[in-house]
Amino acid sequence: MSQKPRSSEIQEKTALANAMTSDDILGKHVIDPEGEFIGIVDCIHIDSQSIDIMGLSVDKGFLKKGLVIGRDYIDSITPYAVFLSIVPSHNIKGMTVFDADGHTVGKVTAVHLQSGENAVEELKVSRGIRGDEVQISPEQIAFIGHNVFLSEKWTDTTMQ
Amino acid sequence: MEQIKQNTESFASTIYLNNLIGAQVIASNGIVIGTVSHVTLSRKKMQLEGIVVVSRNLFQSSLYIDRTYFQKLSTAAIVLTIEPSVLLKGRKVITFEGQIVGKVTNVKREEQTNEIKTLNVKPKLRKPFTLSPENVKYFGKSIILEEGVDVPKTKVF
Repeated sequence: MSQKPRSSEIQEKTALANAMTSDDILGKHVIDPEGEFIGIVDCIHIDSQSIDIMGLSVDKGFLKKGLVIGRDYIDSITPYAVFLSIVPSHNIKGMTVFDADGHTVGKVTAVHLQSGENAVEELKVSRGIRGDEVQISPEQIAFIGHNVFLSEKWTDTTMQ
Repeated sequence: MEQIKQNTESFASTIYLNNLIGAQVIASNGIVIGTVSHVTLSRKKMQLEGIVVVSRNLFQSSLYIDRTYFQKLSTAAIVLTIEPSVLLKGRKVITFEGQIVGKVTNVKREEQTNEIKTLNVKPKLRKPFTLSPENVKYFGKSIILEEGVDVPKTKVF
């Protein structure tokens, strides 16, 4: 005599059918909200105690330093890509810094983040031929797009 | 220098026109488009009308941008209120789900304004197709389409 499947078994099967596997995530493009392709998913990090996904490692390409993105910054996982809810602040490195009048201040050489978060604590900016380096705080930044715009005019006294 | 003028704006707040030549031109999203090669003046209104921008990219033709799109003007740079839509050419187009569907080959505008009328997209292994701005969720480093926008299917043969 065949037994009817219990409702909990049916629910489990439905949940499994709708679940993703690591194959669905590994190797996928990682895309930020600006549409920039950050890299591809390299590893999935799982908490050994709670068995929850903690985050993803992103391979940014040959000779480029990898990135680990916490699950809180993952917006969605689709059949083709993993979308992030943030623009990784590491991408600011190498951007040109312009002041409020469009004068070039320098190039970002280092990005210091608030521990464990995507928020910028400080930018180190190289002033090129002049050889000196200045620090920019988040309060001085008006906008970060393809480059960094400051909220004020930059003069040598701004450095103090 | 003696000054003969009626308007009250101070001489110190003005800029020499020739100092604009060579100034960087920066789009609203921070992209450096190029440098100013020429400045045009209106004969009737006797004021600055626009600029000709030469790109660093040898394959990018010069752009004329009129003053209505200027946000800030200085001898170092002219910051625009827009990202020139002609620069969308070559940009990747992706679906709402992140699938790459092609690259923009042409941007048709409303007359000569910056408003986009249609985008021509050329995919690999698919027929070229056309998008309207309503199909686009976001114009960023890639062009992200709205959910549910139909794109031509892949053709292998």
